[in-house]
Amino acid sequence: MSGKIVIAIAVLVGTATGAIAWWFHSSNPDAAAKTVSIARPEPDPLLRRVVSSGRMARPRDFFRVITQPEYLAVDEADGWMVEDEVVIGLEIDGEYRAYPINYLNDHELVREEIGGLPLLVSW
Amino acid sequence: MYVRRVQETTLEFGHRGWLLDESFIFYDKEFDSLWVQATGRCIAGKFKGQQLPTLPVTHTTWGEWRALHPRTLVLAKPSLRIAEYKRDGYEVYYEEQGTKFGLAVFAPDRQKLYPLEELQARPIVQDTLGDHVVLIVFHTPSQTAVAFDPTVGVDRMAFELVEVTDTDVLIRDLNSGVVWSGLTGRAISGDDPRPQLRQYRTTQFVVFNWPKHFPGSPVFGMP
Repeated sequence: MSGKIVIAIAVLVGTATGAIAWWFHSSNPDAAAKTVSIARPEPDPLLRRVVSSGRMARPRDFFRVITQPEYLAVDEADGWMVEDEVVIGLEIDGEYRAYPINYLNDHELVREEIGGLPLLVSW
Repeated sequence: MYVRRVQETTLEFGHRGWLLDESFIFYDKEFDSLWVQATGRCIAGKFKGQQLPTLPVTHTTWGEWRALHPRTLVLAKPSLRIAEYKRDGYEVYYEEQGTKFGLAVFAPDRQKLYPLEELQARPIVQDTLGDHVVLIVFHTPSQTAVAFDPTVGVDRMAFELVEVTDTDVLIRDLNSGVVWSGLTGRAISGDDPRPQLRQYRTTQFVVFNWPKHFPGSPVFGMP
């Protein structure tokens, strides 16, 4: 007899709690929003493809950036540059620059600013 | 060739040393966002989804560039070199793969790759890229490929090949008969001021990496 009462009370309490929780949840959009923000974001499939170790990868800043590039005029470059050396040629407002890709293969990046444009030379 | 400015913020870059689809990844020192070298796209951090603006460049030989632009300066040989990586790293890797390059041409809303192999027998190619008209000029002796918009004002020009010289590809506008330098996109006969074609943003791109970075983007000469 007393067992049935306990069960009945438990059912009542449980139902009431559920009802209160349902009411609170549905009448309080913040609670719903919180639930969403707690959820773990989906991992980015692109980032899963990033290779951070192994044969090809290198430590951060292993390749130095040429931050103060120096240039030679055509006549100064004689003896340094051979005719068939491959370069990346750039023109900005009548200024011309050539970047030998052989140098960029070692350093990868040149930080530059030409005609007020901040540039990143890479190959 | 990237402009290192996004949303009016000028960035300083370093080398992260990581790779995505065989392209190196840079980081910006201001926010430590990650950027892909091949595309200039930010894949993580404050600027995720943003793209570094690019500028037109010409991949060519020193002899060719100097002939076209005698006032050019050339980057001096950097004093510090990293010989170890060169022997060990991706140059060897690319050699093993038998790397083939193409000219990647970027219009505002789409891009297309022109494998240099496809251009060897074609000094000029006139093509369309969506609504954009593209003139590809290829100089076999120096393996130089450039891309222009053959429109001046409202006139869309059609060109024929005149001659491939040691240092240029001379082309003629069929309407006016004016002769142009195909490699600089500048008229070299006719009245002053001599017009100049607008160069598309281009870069050389490894052909087999193209679909990884620009999936679905067309490749010239392929169905």
